Amino acid sequence: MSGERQVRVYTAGGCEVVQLLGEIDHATAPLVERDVLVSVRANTGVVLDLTETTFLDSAGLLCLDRVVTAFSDRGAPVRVAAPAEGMVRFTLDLIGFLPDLLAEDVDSAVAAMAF
Amino acid sequence: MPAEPPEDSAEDLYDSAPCGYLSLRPDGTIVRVNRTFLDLTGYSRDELTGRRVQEIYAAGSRIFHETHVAPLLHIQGEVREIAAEFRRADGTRLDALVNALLRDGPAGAPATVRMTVFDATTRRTYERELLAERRRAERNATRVRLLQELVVSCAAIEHAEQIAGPIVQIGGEAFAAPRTGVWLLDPAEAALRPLHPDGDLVSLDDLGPEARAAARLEVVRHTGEDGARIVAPLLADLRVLGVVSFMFTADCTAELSFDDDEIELMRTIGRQAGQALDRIRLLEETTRRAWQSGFLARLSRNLDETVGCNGRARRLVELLVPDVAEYAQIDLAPAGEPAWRAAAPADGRDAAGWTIPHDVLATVHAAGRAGPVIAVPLISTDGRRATVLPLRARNTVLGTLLLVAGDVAAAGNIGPEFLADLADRAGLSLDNARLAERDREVAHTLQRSLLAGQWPKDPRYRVVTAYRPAVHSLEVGGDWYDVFATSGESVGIVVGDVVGRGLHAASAMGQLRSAVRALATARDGPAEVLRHMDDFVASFAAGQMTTLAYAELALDTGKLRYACAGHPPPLLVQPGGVPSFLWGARSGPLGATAAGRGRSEAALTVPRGSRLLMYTDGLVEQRGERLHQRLDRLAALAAEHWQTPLASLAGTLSDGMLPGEGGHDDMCLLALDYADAPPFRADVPARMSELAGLRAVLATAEAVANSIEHGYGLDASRTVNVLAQVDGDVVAVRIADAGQWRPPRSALQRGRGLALIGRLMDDLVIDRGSGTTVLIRRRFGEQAGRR
Repeated sequence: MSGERQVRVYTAGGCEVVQLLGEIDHATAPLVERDVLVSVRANTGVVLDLTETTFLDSAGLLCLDRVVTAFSDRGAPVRVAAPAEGMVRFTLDLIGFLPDLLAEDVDSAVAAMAF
Repeated sequence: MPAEPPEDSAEDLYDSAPCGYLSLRPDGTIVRVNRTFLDLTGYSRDELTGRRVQEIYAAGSRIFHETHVAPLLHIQGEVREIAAEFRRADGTRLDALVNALLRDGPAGAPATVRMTVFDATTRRTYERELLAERRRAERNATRVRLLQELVVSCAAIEHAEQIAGPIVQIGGEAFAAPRTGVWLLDPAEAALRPLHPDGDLVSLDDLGPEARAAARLEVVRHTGEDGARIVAPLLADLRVLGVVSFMFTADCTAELSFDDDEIELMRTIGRQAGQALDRIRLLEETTRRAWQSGFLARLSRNLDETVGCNGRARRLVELLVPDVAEYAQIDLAPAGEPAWRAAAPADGRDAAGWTIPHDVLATVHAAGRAGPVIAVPLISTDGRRATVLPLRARNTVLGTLLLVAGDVAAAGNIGPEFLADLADRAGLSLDNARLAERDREVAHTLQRSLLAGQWPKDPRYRVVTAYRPAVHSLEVGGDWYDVFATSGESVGIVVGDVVGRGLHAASAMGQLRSAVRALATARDGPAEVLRHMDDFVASFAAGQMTTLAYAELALDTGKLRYACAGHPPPLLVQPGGVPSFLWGARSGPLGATAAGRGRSEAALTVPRGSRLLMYTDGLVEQRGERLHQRLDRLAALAAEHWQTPLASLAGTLSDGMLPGEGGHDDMCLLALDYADAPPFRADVPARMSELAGLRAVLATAEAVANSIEHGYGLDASRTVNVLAQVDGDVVAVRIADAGQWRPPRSALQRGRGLALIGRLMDDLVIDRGSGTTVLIRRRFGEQAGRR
């Protein structure tokens, strides 16, 4: 996984959508965090899309928490898209990730932030 | 009609005609000559009359006259516009055009030849100049062509040595030089190195024309006894890269009169060849740099992947052979640590290793602490050459790198700068490995000391813990477990996980662990503990996102209160192997913003004989598998092994969950067995008849002996699980082993133990599943003693 970009950013429905790809673990989390923070402007809403995330360990969760905190601090609403059947949704539920921040997919996350 | 000028008499016309007149006999004897001819040639009439005209021709014209003019005259009767050259009286030449006419004389008289001679000096000069111009134009065209060919050949060459071919060729073709020699500058030797096999190395202070041309950057002519040489420097931007020497033998020296154009051509050849050499040098330099940086990058990557200072040293010498050296040896002697050596190849003539003399070692150390890396040459007793380089980092010399260059394939790519760079990187890499080892050692020591604990001794429960580090990581993780008495009647159990690795995580773990202990004894219940832990983490940056499960078990009632901060749920296995995850009282990790912080707690009463498992995510997280499936698997495993003695449970579960070497993350596991029932206790009256009451003890001893002998085959490292329960006037004992049942060794022994137990007790149940479980029961008191 090293060397490949794990972060993709595009715009949908006036929001910035950040796709996080692959495994986010002790080895990759700091890079992913940096990539997300530098490539997202967070002027409007931000959707962190974990549909294609295959693994999240505690470092990955810390990264996610810090990114959500950073965007919230900038005043941008944040949602996390993680389908119920995805690889990491259970992990998010397990650690008590705030249900209000969670969405089934990018579309509903964007809809949830409709201004 | 005007009068004729007086001088226009026939005589005067003849004598003063604008051309020379000669009257000759057929054999060329001059009969008569006019004054104009005498004026042109400077002879007197007497000198010429009676001589043959052939005698006053220049040598070439005489032969031409005999072979062409005379025969043509006889055949055709006349010749016209013959270019002839006369010898004047003063020896100079007269270029002339000659017409001649043969006239028959009167009958019987001999024939005469009348010859007119026109002065053609101007015309011939003009003709000659024309010819010279044409020749020069031709020569220039040839030179341009040769120069173009040189440029093309120079562009095609890839090695400096190949420059000789095109230059030698142009030397022959353009200057007819019998030999052309090319020397290239060798800056290291301050000399010119010949490219032709019989040439000599020419020092730059030599007095010969080659060294002078190199010094003056100019074409130098030299004439000596053995011939002449013209030497042109090979120049690129006023830098001398070599010289070309056009060598002429003694016998062609006379003809050696090169004009400015030719000298300029030689200069141009020198510049063209110089530029080609410069291009090749750049190309070679680029190739060398590419090879060097490729090699060093490979080396660094390989070293980074290798663990430990000694491991890296071993890897390093292996990587240097055979590309850089035919033998490489590293001697490490870091301060305060034993000396250590790595060498490659291990076999071969250097197998015994090189001993570095003290003086060389002292030089390396003295030069090595700072400034540029200096290589010290070393020659063995049998004359082999080696280079000794310091391995240094952070102003310390860790040891030496000895290289026997020998005849290695990449020799052309290796220079002193490369070796210095190599030694520099190697030193740093080895030192980093050494420091990392030390850090790791410190972190491990710290972690061990933090995790080591004296669990409170209480017969009402037993605890085992296991810690398994991640497979591919050398750094310690921040997982922890702890068990402590919160009061006389309850025990606190905690398992937590600090995000991150290394010393940092280990020390944060230590602080959080102490904080939980302190809060748990002072505060009331798990929810309170987590709330205060949130406050603690808020003031303590390192613990953010720490997950933690905390439970308190009241030992007399079995009431269990627990709470989980983002942590995987505790697993309760009730007697009989019924697993259930404790999914209550969940909230987010400590200090998280995106997860719930409403701390709550859940409570339940656990039956005696239950087992509580708490663990970190390393046990259940696995790439490519869904977490809930992993949790299901853990529950199934724990249920399957509900009777496995606590001592071996941790190993069984971690082996079952993480087959092979282990997981990607650290894992820790804590298992607590809540004791079945108050232990069997009896005050035995000192009467013989009371011995009957101890029958259960005897029966138990027999059953345990059976387990030891048949279940474990006398393997003293195993344990037999004995649980005794008194329920009213019934005593029940369960004896369980995890061994393979083996048949008794002799017929005599067969069943003796079981028979004895059968007589001593009321009930005997034997269950051979995985291991053997024996249940025995006996009623005491009034209704007891049927036998």
